[in-house]
Amino acid sequence: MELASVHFWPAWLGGLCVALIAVAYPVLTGRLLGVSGLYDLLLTSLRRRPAEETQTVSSMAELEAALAAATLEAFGDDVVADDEPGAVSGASGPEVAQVLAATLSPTRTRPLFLVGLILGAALASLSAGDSWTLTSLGSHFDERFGGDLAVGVVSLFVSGCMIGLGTRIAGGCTSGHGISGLACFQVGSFVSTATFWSTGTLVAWLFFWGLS
Amino acid sequence: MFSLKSSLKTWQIRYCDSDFKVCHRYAMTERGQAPPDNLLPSGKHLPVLAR
Repeated sequence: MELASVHFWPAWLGGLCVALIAVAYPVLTGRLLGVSGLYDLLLTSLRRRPAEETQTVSSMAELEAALAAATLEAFGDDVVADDEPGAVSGASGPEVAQVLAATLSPTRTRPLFLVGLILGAALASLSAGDSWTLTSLGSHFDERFGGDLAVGVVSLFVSGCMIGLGTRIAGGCTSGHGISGLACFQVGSFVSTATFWSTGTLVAWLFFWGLS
Repeated sequence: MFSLKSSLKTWQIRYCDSDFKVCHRYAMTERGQAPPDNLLPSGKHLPVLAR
C-alpha cells in the first residue's frame, strides 16, 4: 500500500462524521472529546501508586475482613450478594438514567472509543478495497529518503513520540484543541491550534519543497 | 460477614457503574494522579493491604 493510493472518504463526509461525534460525545459522557486526553486518562488509571496509611498483611483473610468491614460501614445492609447479577440495584427496578449511566461510565466508554478509532479506520479502508501491505509512505517521502521502508517506519515512530510529547505539553491534540476547544471558544485552543497548524504547514513545506 | 466477591461487586455497582463522578479514585484519575492501591471510592483508605 502506498499512502498516496489510499482511498479516503470525501472530506465533507468525514467532516460531518467528526462533527457528529464531537457533539454526541459530550452529550453522552459529560466530557469534551479529546483523543490524546483519553489515552492519558486511560494510562493514568492503569498506573500503580503505593498504598497510603496502611499496613501490609500476609493473610488474604485479613484483607477480606477489612474490606468487608469498610463495605458494611459504607453501605450498611445494602450489600450485593455473590449470586446477584451485576445490574444497578437500590431501586425498585433499574431506571433508564441509571442503566444509561452504568452503560456510559468512563471505564467502559474510553477503551471502547479508542478501539473504535482503529476499527473504524480499518473498516473504511476495507470497504474502499485498499491493500493492507505497506510498501511506501508516498512519493514525496520516497524522493526525500530513497524509498527505504525501514526509515519510514522509524520516522513514523519518532513522529508519533513527538506528537505525544507535544500534545502532553499543550494539554490536548488536534481533536481536543482543534475541534472541541475551538467549538467552545477557548482561547488556549485557538493559540494551540494556530501554533501547531502553522508550524506543521511550514515544516512540511520546508521538508518537501523548501530544502530541495 | 460476606465474601470478598460481594464486597468488590458492591463497590463496583455503587460507584463504577452508577455514581462514578463522586468516586475518589475516579476524581484523582481525572486530575492526572494515580490513586493509591488502598484508596476506596468513598475516599477512605483501607487500613490493611495484602502483600
